[in-house]
Amino acid sequence: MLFNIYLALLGLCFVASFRKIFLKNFLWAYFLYVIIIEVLVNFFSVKDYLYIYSILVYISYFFFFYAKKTNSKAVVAISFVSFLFSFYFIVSSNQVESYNINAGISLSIFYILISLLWFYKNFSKTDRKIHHKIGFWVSSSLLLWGVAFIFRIIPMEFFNIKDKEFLLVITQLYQSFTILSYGVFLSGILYSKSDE
Amino acid sequence: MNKLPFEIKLTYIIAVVIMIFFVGFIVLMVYFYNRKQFYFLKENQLKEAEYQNQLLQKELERQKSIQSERERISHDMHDDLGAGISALKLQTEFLKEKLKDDESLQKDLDDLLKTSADMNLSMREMLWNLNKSNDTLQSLVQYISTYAENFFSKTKIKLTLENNLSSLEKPISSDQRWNLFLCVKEALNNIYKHSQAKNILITFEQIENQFILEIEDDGVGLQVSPTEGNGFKNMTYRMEESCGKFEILPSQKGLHLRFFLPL
Repeated sequence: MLFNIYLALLGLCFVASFRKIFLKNFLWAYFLYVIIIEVLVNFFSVKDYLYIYSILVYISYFFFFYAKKTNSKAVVAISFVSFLFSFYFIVSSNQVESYNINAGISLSIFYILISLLWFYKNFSKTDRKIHHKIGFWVSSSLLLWGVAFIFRIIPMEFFNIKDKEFLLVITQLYQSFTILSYGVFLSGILYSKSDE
Repeated sequence: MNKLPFEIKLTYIIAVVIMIFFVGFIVLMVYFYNRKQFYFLKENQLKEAEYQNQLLQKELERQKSIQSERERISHDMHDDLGAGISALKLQTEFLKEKLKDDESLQKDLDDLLKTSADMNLSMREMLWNLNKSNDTLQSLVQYISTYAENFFSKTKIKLTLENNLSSLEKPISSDQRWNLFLCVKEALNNIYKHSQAKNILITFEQIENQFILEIEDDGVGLQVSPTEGNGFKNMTYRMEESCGKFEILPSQKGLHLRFFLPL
């Protein structure tokens, strides 16, 4: 049920991302990629190590998204270090069929840092209302998802061994937060008036 | 089946909720702080606009009072001074008629008549300057044209007027038109006195936001250096006063003067 809502929301985000002012951000390409990955893994039983390699794609995409908006060297540094760490964890990992925890943590930290950086750069700017900027919604969404994902990924294996039932609850909770974060994303695409 | 103690699960759930709460708090804090800043800035801009508006209002009131004073002076001049000059002229003519046998007084009376006619003309020029409804390019061009036509009507110099203006409704301040008129008056007077010209051309033009008036004659040209004559110095000074410019252009024959005024 939650997964269907999640997929429907992704579809809506994909359609909405064709708004003229966001075309040069290639948001549609990001959503298309996420949809393809989810469909391949969940409906065509393609091995879920696709998720691990997607981490590198997500870091690269959000580096591109934030680099021109913040025009900050910190974005380059955060993205570069996160990419390197994730790449190292993915390559050095032998468990190709399960999710690499360290790479997942790198992605979460990348999302948290980059969204906080955007807030830092924009919270006192008064050129326009902050909620009219797409960056506000994307950063809120990534921050929420990044924090939720850390709580899901770190104790995942521990709960898998100790309490599978509780892991299911955690997974559902995480899916709810993912839906919420894509909801925030969709609101941003629909209501933002500026590609900042 | 393995089960974790309830306390650990509860602690975990609380930690998740607190962290999510923090995320929400950060986002809302950023949003409200930015909103406050935004409205603070808008409020300041509004205050600044109100202040500017007040200044403008005061300036308008000042202009209005200047205008009403100009009108008062204009009416007084017309009714009082004008009537006085007319009376003086009439009395002089009456005296001239009465003393037509006295040859020695006739010349003095003619001079008196001429002086009163000059005074009458000067007063009319001043009235033209004081009248706010004349603050347009059209009025200036018309006035200068009429003046030049009258000025050269009794001379052998042939006057040609060329009006290339696209818009005549442009406003022009009374100081500007007065200064330009006095410059033109001075220039025409000099041409009549010194140039020995047979033809004179006055051109009115507008290039972008500049009004250009040119005076060309086919006389003997400049006999003295432009820095020597008081007339040229006055013209330069008057045009600079009006934020304009005065130039003497090189010419094969005669004199070519150009006056610029910003519109």
